[in-house]
Amino acid sequence: MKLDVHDENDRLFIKIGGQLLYSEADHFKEEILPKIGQHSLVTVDCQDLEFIDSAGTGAIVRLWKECRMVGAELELIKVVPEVQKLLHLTRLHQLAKVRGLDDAA
Amino acid sequence: MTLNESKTFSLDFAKLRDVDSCISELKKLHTQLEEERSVAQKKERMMTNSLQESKQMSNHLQQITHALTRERKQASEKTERERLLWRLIERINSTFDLDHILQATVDELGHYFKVNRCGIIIPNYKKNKDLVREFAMGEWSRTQDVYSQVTLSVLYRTVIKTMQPLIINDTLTHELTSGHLSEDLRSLLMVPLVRGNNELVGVVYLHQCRTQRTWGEHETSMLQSAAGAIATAVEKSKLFNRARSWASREKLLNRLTSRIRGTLNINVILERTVVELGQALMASRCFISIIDPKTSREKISHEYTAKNATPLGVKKEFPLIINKLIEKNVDCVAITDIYKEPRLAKLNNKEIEQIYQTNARSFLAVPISFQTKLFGWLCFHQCNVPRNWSEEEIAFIQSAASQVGVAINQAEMVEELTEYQTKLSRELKQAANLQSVLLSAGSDTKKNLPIAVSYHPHHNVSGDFYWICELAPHVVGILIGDVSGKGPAAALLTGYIIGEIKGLLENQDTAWHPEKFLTALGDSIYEQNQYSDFYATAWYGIFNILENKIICSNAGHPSPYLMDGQSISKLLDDPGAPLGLLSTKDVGAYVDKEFKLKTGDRVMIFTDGLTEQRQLEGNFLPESWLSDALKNHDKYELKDLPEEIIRKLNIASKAAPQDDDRLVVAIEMPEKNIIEFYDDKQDYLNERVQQIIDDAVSKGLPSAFISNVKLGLIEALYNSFRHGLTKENREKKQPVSIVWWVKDSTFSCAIKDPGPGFDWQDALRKKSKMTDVDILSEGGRGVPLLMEIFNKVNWNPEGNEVGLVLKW
Repeated sequence: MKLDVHDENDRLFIKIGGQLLYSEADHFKEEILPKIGQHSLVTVDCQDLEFIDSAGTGAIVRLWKECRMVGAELELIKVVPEVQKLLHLTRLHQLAKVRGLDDAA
Repeated sequence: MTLNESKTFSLDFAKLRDVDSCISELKKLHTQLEEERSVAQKKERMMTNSLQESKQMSNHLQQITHALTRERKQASEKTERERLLWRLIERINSTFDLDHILQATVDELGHYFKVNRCGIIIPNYKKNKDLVREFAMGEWSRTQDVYSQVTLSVLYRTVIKTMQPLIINDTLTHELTSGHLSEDLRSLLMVPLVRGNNELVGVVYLHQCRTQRTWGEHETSMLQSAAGAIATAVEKSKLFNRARSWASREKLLNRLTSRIRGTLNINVILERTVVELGQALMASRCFISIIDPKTSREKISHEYTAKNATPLGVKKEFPLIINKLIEKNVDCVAITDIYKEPRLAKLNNKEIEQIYQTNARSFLAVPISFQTKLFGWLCFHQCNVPRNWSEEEIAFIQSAASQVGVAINQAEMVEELTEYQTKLSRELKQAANLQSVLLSAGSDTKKNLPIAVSYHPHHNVSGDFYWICELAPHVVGILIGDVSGKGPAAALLTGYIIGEIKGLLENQDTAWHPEKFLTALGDSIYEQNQYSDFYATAWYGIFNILENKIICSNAGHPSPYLMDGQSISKLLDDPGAPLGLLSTKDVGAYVDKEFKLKTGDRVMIFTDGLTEQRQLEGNFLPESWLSDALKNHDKYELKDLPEEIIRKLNIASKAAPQDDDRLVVAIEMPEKNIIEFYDDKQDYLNERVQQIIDDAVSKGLPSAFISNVKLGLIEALYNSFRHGLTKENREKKQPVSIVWWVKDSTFSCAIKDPGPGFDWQDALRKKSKMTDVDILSEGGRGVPLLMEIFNKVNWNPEGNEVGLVLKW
C-alpha cells in the first residue's frame, strides 16, 4: 500500500495506491487517523487503489467515524470499479461520497 | 322135485298079516306119501318163486339195459353239448371282440343244428344300436338290413316278453305265425339270452326254411345252454367295454385335470375340453354356457359340434332355461327325449321354441361350479335321436365339470392376481421412481473426489442404497447401506432411511462424524422398527482430499477394500452391529476409524450382493474372489472399475442369476494443487492468489469473477492466517494449506489452518449476509463477504477448514 497524504487548504487529500488489505489496514489507520480534525473535507483518491478487502473497508469505516466526530466530510474519489463494487457491497457509499473514475470531481 | 317126477315106496307084504297091520302099513304109507307131497309142493312153490324171480330179473335187466342205453345216449348228447359249450366258452374267453364271438357262434350253432339260419340279436348294444349277427346257408342268406329288423318282429317281442324259448315246429300252423310270415320260414326256435340277474340281453334263433322241422327237447336244451354262454359273452364284453370306456374317460379326465393344472390359459383349456368331451361321449354338441353375473343370461363361451350337427355359435346368449328345468336336490338336467319331457312344461313357448331350434333331441346340462359359486353349465346335445344319459356318463361329466369349475376359478384368480400384479408392478414402478428420485439427490458423483458407481438392483425397488454428499469441496461423505430383505418392504425402509440420512447430513455434528451419524441413524431406525425384524447395514466414510484420509464407521457392513497399487487389503474398520436391530444404548455407539491414504490410492465400497453370490451349481462364491478380482484394478480407469468388478462377478458365478442387489462405489485419491502458507506475508499471498486465479482463468474462470475470487480467497486466507498462524504454529512450521479445482464451470477450493478453528456457526448466526452487518461496524464483514461471493461456503465443525465453491 502506498499512501500520499497532504493538506489542500481545508481539505485533507489522501492518495492511496496498491491494496488495502488486512495486513495494511492497521498501518492505514495509524497513518491517517491522527491527521483528522483540522479539515472540513477529507478526500481519498482511490485511483491507484487496486484492491481492498473487508479489513480495508473496516479501516474506511473507522476513517468515516473519525471524520464525523470532527464534523468533517469524507469522500472517496476516482474509485476503480472493482473497489467501487466492494464499497457498494459493504454499503460504504451510504456513509461517504463515493465517486468513480468517470464521475466529475 | 317136480310133480311129474315119480318115486317108489316099498310095501313089505310080509308085514300084512292082518287088517290092522294092513291099515297100519297103509297109514304109514300114507304118511310117507303125505310127507312126499308136502315136499313136492314145497319144491313146486320154490320153483314157481324162482321162476317169478327170474322173470323179474329179466325185466329188471331189460330196464337196466334200456336205462343204460338212454344214459349212453344222454351221455353222448351231453358230451356233444359239453363239447359245443366248451368251444363256445373257449372262444368267449379268448377275446373281448363281441362281433367276432357272435359271428363265430352263429356259424358254429348253424352248423351244429344243421339249420338254414342261425342268428343272435343284442338290442341296444352300443350307442342305442342293435348288434345282430346271422349265419345262413346258401340261398337262405339275407342282407344285414333285413335281418337287422328282427327286433321288430312279433316273434322277438314274444320271447323278450315271456323270457321263455319260443318253439315253432311249423309256422304254417302256429298261431303266432300262421298267415303272417311272408318268407319261407317253416320252423323256428328262439331262445332268450338271459344274464345271471335274469336280465335279458338278447335272443338267439334257429330257422329251418321250406321243410318243416320238429325241434327236439335236446335241441331246445342245447340252444338254451349255448344261450347262457352267449349271454355271458355279451355281459363280459359289455363289462369290458364299460371298463375300457371308464378307463378312457378317466384318462380324459386326468388329461383335462393336468391341462388345467399345467396352463393358465383358460381359453385353451375350455376349447380343448369341449372338443374332447364331445368326441369322447359321441355327442352332437358339447358346449359351455357361462352365466353372466351382470345380465344373468347364459352365453356360450366354447362349443364343439360333431359333423352331423350345426353349431349354435359362440357368444350366443340364452335366457336361464336350465335353472327352470333343474329339480330340487338334483344337480344336473338330463333329458332323454325332449319330445317326451314333462319338465318342458315349465318353460314358456318362446323358450321351448328356442330349445327346438337347436335341433337337440336329448339334452344334458351339468353345473360348472367351484365351492358355492356357479359359473355356468357344461352342456351336451344329442341331435335327432333320443339318448339315455347313463349314470356313469353323468358322473363322468360331473367330474369333468368340476375340473372346468376349478379351471375357471383358477383363471378368475389368475386374472385378479394379474390385475393385482399389474397394479403392484405399477406401484413398484412408482416406488422405484420415487426411490430413484429420493436417491438421486445423493447419487451425483461429480465431486472433486473421483467417484465411480455401479448399481444393479435385483428388483424394481431396491434395498441397497448409497448417498454421496459433498460436505466441503475437499470433503466427501459416502454412505452405503443395505436394508435386509428385498422388494417393496425393504424399499419402504430404504425410503425412511434416506429421509433420516438427509436430516443427519444437514446436521454438522452428525454429517462430519461417521460414528455419530451411524449411532443417530441406528437409534432412529430402531425406534421406528421395534415391531418388525428389518435391519440395515451401513458404512459411512468421510474422504478428505486435503488431508488424504478417510474417517469412517461401520454398522455391520462388509468392510471396504483399499487398493494401494498391487496391495489389496480390507479396511480394518471394526464393524459394529447392524442398524435397527438393537438400541445403541444396549450395544454401545459405533466407532470412528481413520485411515491415511496416498494420492492414487483407491477404495472400493460395496454391498453383500458382491460377496454373497451363488455360483450356477448353488455354492456361494469364495470370499477371496473379490480381492483376487481387484488385483488388476490399475488396468482400468476408475470410472470403469465398478462395472468391471460386476463383469468379473458374472464370470466367477458362471452367469448365475443375481441373488441380491449389487452396488459398488469406488473412489480414488486425486492429484491436487496445493499451496502452503507459513506466514501472512502479503507479497507471497498476492503471488499465490494470482497463481490460483491464473490457473482458474486458464481453466475457464470468466474474468468477471476474478476480483470476486481474489477477494474471497484473500478474505478466507486472512481468516485462516488470523486463527491458524499463531506464533506457536509458525514456529512449528504448521502451514495454512489451500487446494483448488476448476471443473464443470465451478471453481472450488479448500483452506485448512492449523489453529483450533473459530465459532463459524455463531458468526453465521449473527451475520450471514452483508445486510446483517452494522454499517458503522469496523469488523465482521469477512464471513458475510464470503457468503456473498461464493455459492457455497462450508466449514468443518471445528472451523479450521473451509470450502468455497463458485459456479458460473
